[in-house]
Amino acid sequence: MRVVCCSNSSLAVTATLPSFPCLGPRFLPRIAIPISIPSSAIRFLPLRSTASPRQITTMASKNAQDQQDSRLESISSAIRVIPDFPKPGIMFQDITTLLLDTKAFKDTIDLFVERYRDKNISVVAGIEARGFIFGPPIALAIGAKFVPMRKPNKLPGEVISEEYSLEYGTDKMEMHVGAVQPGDRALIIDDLIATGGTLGAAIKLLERVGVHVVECACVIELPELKGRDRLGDKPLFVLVKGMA
Amino acid sequence: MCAYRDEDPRLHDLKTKIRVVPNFPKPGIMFQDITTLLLDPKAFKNTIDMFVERYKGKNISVVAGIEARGFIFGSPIALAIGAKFVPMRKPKKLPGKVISQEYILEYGRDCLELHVGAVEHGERALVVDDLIATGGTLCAAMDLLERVGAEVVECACVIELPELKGRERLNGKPLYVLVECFECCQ
Repeated sequence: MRVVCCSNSSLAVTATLPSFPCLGPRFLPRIAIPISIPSSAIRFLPLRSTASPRQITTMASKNAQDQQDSRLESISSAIRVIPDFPKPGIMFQDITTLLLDTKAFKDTIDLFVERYRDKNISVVAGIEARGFIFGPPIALAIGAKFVPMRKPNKLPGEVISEEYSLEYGTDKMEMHVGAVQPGDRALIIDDLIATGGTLGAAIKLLERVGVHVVECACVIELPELKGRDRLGDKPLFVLVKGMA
Repeated sequence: MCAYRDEDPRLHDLKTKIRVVPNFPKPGIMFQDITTLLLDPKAFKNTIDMFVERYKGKNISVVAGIEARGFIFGSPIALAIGAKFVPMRKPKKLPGKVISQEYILEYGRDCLELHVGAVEHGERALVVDDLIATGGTLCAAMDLLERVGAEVVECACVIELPELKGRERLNGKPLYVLVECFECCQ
């Protein structure tokens, strides 16, 4: 398994794995996750939602794996970490630098589209506002509706809301009445999952109106914040994992 | 009442997908809601295609999308024409170093921000939003881009409300829209 990480990472690195140049002190350890990995490789963090591991036995599939990994590496290295934003102690994972790298941005979308194009997804729900950057290109490519999930009082007309808790206090997410139908198969997109509160609220909103949430998809996960646990039984797919 | 820009058959379909919500966000405003357009994959794709056909091959290196509905249209356009996507955001949303531009609203002021270093001197930029009303926001976006030395090639919106004369606020910069809507404010 190929890993992109800093030498000051708290994660153990075995001698048998290939090593990569350190990204430098500006970057925190971040791990690029291959979509599927050989079962003989050592995994740092469990991948619960990826395809089942398979042996890489042919040159063709090995080349595909390499291409996959190089896309993930460039995506990972295009993400910028801003310390102490929005408040002291938070290491903010900034995807805007990824959007400035036209190839890495396209690769990001392609990786999601490759995963979802044959899954009969009828709705892509994007969470305001950075989910509006990744969700629409995915929706367009897979032929699904795009539904914005918004902060209160932004959507005109009739909405349904779901409250969710923050570290201090609560927030609310809204969706248009009638945007989705019972039986729709939905993908929920955001740039990042931290505690999972926002994604959890989006799942509830969609399920309340009879939609089947197939998966949640983010560019980045902060696994230490255990957001995955707040998604109920819904799978989560991410491209990159970062340290909180 | 909405008019079509020309006879492209895709435009007729697009116009029928835009929903008008009366008295939002306040009494007297007929809000042009593009979310219903996004629920029709073919119409949404046609919308993006019409912009892409216009801007592909024009050496546009930056698409600046105005938060938040400008993100929905700007991002796919940027990807399709091979340009960077740069979000222009309300205050305190962008992390790190930003430059800001204040602009006047009907009552009070607002502010738009752009990341320092996102756009370089000499870059050719397109500014995208879902709708132009008074033109205040688009004008602030253009100002920001010009302050960092970019050339704003054009502003592009799905909808224009011509009676609000936003076009005149763009200091001669061209504006391209797909649909014009009249009698949207009472």
